Amino acid sequence: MKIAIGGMKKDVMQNAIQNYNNAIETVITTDIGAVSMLKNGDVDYYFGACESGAGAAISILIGMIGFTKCCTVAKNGQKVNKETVEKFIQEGKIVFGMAHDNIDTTVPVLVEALLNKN
Amino acid sequence: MTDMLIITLMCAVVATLAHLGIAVFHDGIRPIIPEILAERMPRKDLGKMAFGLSVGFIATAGVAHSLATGMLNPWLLFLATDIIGIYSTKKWHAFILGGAFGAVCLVLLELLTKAFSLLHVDMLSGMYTIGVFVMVGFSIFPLLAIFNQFGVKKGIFATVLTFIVRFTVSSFTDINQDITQLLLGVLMLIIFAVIQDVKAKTYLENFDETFFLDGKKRVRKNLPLLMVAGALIATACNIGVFAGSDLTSYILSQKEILADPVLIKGLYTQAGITEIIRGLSFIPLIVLTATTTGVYGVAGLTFVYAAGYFAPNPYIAAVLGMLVILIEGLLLGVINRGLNKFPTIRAMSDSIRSAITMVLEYSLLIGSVVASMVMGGMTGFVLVTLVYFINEVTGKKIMKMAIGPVAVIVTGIVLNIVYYIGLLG
Repeated sequence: MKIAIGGMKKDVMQNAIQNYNNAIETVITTDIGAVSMLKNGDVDYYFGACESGAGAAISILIGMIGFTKCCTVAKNGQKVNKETVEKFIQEGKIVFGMAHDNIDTTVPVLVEALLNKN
Repeated sequence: MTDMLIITLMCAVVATLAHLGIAVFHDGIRPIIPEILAERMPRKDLGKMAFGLSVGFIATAGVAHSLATGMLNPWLLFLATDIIGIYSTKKWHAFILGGAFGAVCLVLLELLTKAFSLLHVDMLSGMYTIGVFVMVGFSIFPLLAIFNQFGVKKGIFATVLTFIVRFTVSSFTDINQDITQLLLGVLMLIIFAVIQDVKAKTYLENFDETFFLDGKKRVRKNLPLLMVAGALIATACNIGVFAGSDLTSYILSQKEILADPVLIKGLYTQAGITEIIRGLSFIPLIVLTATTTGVYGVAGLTFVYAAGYFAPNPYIAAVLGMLVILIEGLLLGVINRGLNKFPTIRAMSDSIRSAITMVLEYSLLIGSVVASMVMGGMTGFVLVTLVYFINEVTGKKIMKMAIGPVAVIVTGIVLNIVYYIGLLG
């Protein structure tokens, strides 16, 4: 599994993913950089963080990959919900936005759900 | 009265922009607007979505920053006008409701700040100290961004150089050392990014631009109405009731305790510089979403805020605001092409935003602790700390950026209640 990381606090995101499972490949890029990676199949998923979890983190991907492939797993002030995340993954979402305050709590739940799917 | 007129008109026009799908404030809503314009998605659904995304922001960051600084801000006003505009089924509904929302916010803010200033424990003078921390803390962010994006070696080099310049400036000249430090840091950040791209020869690559043409055309077609909004936003900044960001809210909040007009002028200059630098970090995002979707940001590329702060009076602010929106709009294609050739500059916007957020969260928290101690000594410290940790252990409902100011407001209110009960001398 390979994950592209864009948006804010990319190093925090990368650490969170690798602390959970260091077998997962990550690549730090930008939102638009991730668009071509996803389209070419270089990466499987995109994680991005911003203030709200739905703005700067994923807006360019919504525009260029499509709204149906994108979702926000944790808005600010909201705790990530395992069932919702699993539902998103079943719906075929590959772009995941989250509030940067919540990276540490959100990533383990999200990565676990993605690993279970594979 | 002028304040009321400008804020009401500004919110009315901005809500209309959102209704017509010309521009929205929330970056995440922008790419979805075409869905309602093409009637693939009902207005109500997107309205519900916008509400869900923004309500927490409005209620915490929007309200807290406004109460703590006495300035209206875009999170309070423009996130709300997005929701109002999208929900409204008719143009004039958006116009009237948007305007009414702005007017109500202004009245409530003026009443509450008036009330705060009449209380025994003066909450305002405490809160204004937060501004000093924000202003000085902000000047460190470029160093953080350099460490983050270009590694430890360049980071240490930049830090050492910054400090040499800082101390030289403060010893031999009257130039503001924080502003010098800030500008030097930003300059180094840009130079490092350009060097990296020039070395990688990314500027030789060609990009397919046809994808962006329709969006650019639509934004250009809408420029007249966007310029009206730009004029009103720049005027609102100029008259000192509205701040373009949390940073400038806190910087300008100090104008209430400064009596010297020269110092106040200095605050406005600093606010202008701050908005320009902050604007740099949003250009790539706004330009790309605008050119791909045809939906723009309500304040364009956000340089209208700076135009408002630099202008000597409201009339010139209005003219400058219009011009800035016009020039930005005409340059969209050029900027987009430039960013494609310099990808590190694009990546820089992410590290700038991360770094600003980090120093701002820190400065707001430390500033809030000091503000609480100004109001209530160690009792103030106990109260502010308590509020902070209650939020921590109950699932961080209030975002990091807002918890400091919220804690100060709670501290101030509690101190006053305790005084009026008669327990505090």
